[in-house]
Amino acid sequence: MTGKLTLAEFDRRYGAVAPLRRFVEDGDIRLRRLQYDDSAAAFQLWDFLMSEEERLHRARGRGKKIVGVMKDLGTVAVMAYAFPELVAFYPDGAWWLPCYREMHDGLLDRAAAAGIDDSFCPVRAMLGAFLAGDRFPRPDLLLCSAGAVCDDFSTIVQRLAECGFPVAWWEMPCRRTPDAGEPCVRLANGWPVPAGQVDMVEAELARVLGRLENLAGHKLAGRDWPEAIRAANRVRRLVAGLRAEVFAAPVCPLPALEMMIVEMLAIHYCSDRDETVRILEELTALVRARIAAGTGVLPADAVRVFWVNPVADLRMMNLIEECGGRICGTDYMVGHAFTALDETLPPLAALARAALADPMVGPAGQRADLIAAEIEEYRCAAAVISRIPGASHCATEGKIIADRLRARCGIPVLELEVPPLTDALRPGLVTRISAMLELAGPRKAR
Amino acid sequence: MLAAECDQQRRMAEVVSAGTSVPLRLLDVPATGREAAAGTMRAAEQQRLAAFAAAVGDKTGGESAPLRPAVAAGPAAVRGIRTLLAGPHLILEHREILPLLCGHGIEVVVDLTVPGDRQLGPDPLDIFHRPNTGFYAQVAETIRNNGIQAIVVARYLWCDAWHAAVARLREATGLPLLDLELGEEADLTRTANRVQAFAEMFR
Repeated sequence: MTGKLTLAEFDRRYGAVAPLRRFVEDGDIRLRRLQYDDSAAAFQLWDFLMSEEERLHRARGRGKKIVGVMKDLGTVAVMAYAFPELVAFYPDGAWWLPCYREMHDGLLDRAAAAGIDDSFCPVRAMLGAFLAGDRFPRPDLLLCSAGAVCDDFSTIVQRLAECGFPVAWWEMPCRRTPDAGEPCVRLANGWPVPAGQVDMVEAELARVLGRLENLAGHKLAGRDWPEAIRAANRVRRLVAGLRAEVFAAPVCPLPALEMMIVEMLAIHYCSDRDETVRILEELTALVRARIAAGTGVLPADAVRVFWVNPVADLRMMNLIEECGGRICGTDYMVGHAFTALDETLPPLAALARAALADPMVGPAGQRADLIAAEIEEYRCAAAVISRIPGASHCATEGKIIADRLRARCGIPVLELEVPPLTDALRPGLVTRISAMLELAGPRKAR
Repeated sequence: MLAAECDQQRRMAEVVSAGTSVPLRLLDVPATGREAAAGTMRAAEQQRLAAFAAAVGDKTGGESAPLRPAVAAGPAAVRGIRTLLAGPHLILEHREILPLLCGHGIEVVVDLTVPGDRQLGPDPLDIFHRPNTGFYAQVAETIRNNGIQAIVVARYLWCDAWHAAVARLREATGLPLLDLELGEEADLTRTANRVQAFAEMFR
């Protein structure tokens, strides 16, 4: 079994030229408390993730326009990257800044001073980051979906606009099942949606495209579209392929923490699509080599767990493995970002379908059915529903999903809350997770 | 009939539909009100609503029954601190806030809660619009036209739209503002203490 490394070991082994310690010295002190996969590919992944802000500043220095795309998690970024003059990123990712800095960054306090206190989701750190102005470059254009989106996010972005950061909104309808006799379209994951909703989102994306064209200073040439969709699919297929191989492998070939970052790369390529592809290919080669050699990073009898929702504290991904679990299925709210776009459709129609496949814009029960299918596919013996403190969707969705999973899959389901820093809660979390894994154990043995 | 204007309404539609055989429809309300696509969406949803109402109407033979007791008339108007009451729909028990405010010399001149006297001010549902700058412009005009001296926001714990509005209302109006966060309990004792303290500021 390949062991995990501390930051010092990780740097010593792979970071002779550019150690990750430089990010710790810059304030990202949480890195000292994480456990890393022992591989050069994982080191490149971490370096790529942590250096995104530098990359955005360099892009601005080269004259590129910066687009802040918000909330849709994966759709509008594909459009922005069709323009060579534009670089897109999701400021939403700022929700991990308080974790990286172990709450010493003051971003949440800044958000609270602007009226967004700790009763809101930790994504309020994004507002703090905009107001602080010293993390990522101020975007030339901010785009955000509205409607069937998280209330916290929508109100935080509205507050952002009130604080002097103009936002262009576009409508995301609440995905629903078609009425009897209503024309419908089937999404890539099998969900039927009214054709009218697809048309509506396509019209909204056309409006977004107009904004991007204005910023880029030219219309998107017809030939650029197929290439943008193909390039997006290259990333999406790599991420989907990695998930499938890692989750199905008899012994876990890549830890949960690195796999969570892999999924996040699908959203906006960490601001560099080509480098994302290269890193994903390296990780794929690593995973295949480990599977072929029958080695992995966790004991072969680790309990297979499905994880629902992203965690505000990265340390949780280490913790589940320390307790004897192994992540073999995920819904980090980004599943639609690594589902391949239909290359036979007009680009905006394909993107509209992808946007409507966002698990968060439709019924939680539908989302639960998709989770249950993956639980069955990867033979998960337990599920964790990780609540995000203050997040409005977490007030009710957890019970809906948990009830559906218990009824359909008959596995233990644990609901717990993960704040940006879990250290003080660690004993309780360990007890609860261990109890769940113990319950799941006999099933695992069958 | 639920309007999908927030997470809670969307999810509660699922919870409610699982526990009842009563026909239920979730009406999707566009957030970007002025855009063409939003207009198309609104028209389509209105058609679905009409079809739903017709179907339900057929089953009830055209009779309608009150879903809840009528709201008792508020106390006789008193002259006091001229106040705008803002917030979402309040459950029946929390309508007791109106006499509570009145009892402490706080005169609710404009009530933006639901059901309130919405004809006097902006539509409180506009707070869900993106952007919702139009809502605040209407609030400012309402405040000017009615000589408002104070604002009371009565909102629920998970209602993010009204929670975030507190900072904006303070900032935009400069008026004293009392932010009342309500839970599931009907007891307003703690709220009464805060209302009293707020009223004392004006003496």
